Amino acid sequence: MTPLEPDRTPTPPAEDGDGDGIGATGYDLAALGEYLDRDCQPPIPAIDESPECQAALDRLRRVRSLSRELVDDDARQQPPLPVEWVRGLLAGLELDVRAGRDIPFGGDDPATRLSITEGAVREVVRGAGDAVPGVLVGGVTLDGDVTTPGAAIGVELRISVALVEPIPDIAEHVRARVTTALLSHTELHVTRIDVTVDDVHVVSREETAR
Amino acid sequence: MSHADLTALARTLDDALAALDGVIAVYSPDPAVARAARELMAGGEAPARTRVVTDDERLVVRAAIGVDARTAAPGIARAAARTIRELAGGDAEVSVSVRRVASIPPALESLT
Repeated sequence: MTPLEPDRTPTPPAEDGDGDGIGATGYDLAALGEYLDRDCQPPIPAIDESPECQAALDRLRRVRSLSRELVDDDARQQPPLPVEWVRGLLAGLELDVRAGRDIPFGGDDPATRLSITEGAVREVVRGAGDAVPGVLVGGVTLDGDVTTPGAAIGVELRISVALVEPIPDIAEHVRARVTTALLSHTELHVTRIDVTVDDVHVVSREETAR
Repeated sequence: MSHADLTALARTLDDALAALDGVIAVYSPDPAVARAARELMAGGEAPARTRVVTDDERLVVRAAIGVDARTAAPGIARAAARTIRELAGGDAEVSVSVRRVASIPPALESLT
């Protein structure tokens, strides 16, 4: 079977769209993958102190853990998963963890400005979706003027699923969890949550019952 | 306020914010390049993460935090602002940005 690990060809500090890597640290996803391989040793302060890099590292850990689980599962009973599956999950991650726009929290004091970054909200959405069994969230998009309080906002998620129950039910669970999380962590006026299933991994009933 | 006073206040704010329930990290609100420049100017010593400067004699405090997903981010941000005001004074201009909301799915807690 093809190992389900991201492509980690050694890469120098990034030259992505902005020319300065994740969180403007100079490190791209491949470099963070190498850092993770070394158990984050020796420490690199630019990575350790960057919220965007930390979010990306968490994402890499999550994808690798899930990949290992599915590799074990495949070895027992399923056709091999394409390595493109993992690549697809990681595609766009560098964009996804960027801080993006500042989304304000309300308040009466004009001398106090409170906000949450768009990147943090995407992390909220990913965390909520990932909490649904068998789900791994890929891309997250906030559609609308998030910087204006009260503006109608749409949320779009792309997910990969291990098919432990019917897809409509899985999508509904994801939508419910994301709604709850957004109500807790933001003051956005979310008017729709669209869930697109990009990949499906079939799990046998025998496995599901474990 | 002298530069040394501002630096000391910034470090005090770092510690106070890090000690708040629900705060998992205190970050620099500056871009990485600006942060690196500050480190160079500090002569190798890690500078405080929270930014404290004066603008027309008024204190300006900029903080960036990460919060635990189990606690509501807006409430933590407000608590952080209150803490800053208590330490920096009521006239300060304060901004608090939530840069991360981190959670570990229960199924993965044993793996991390």
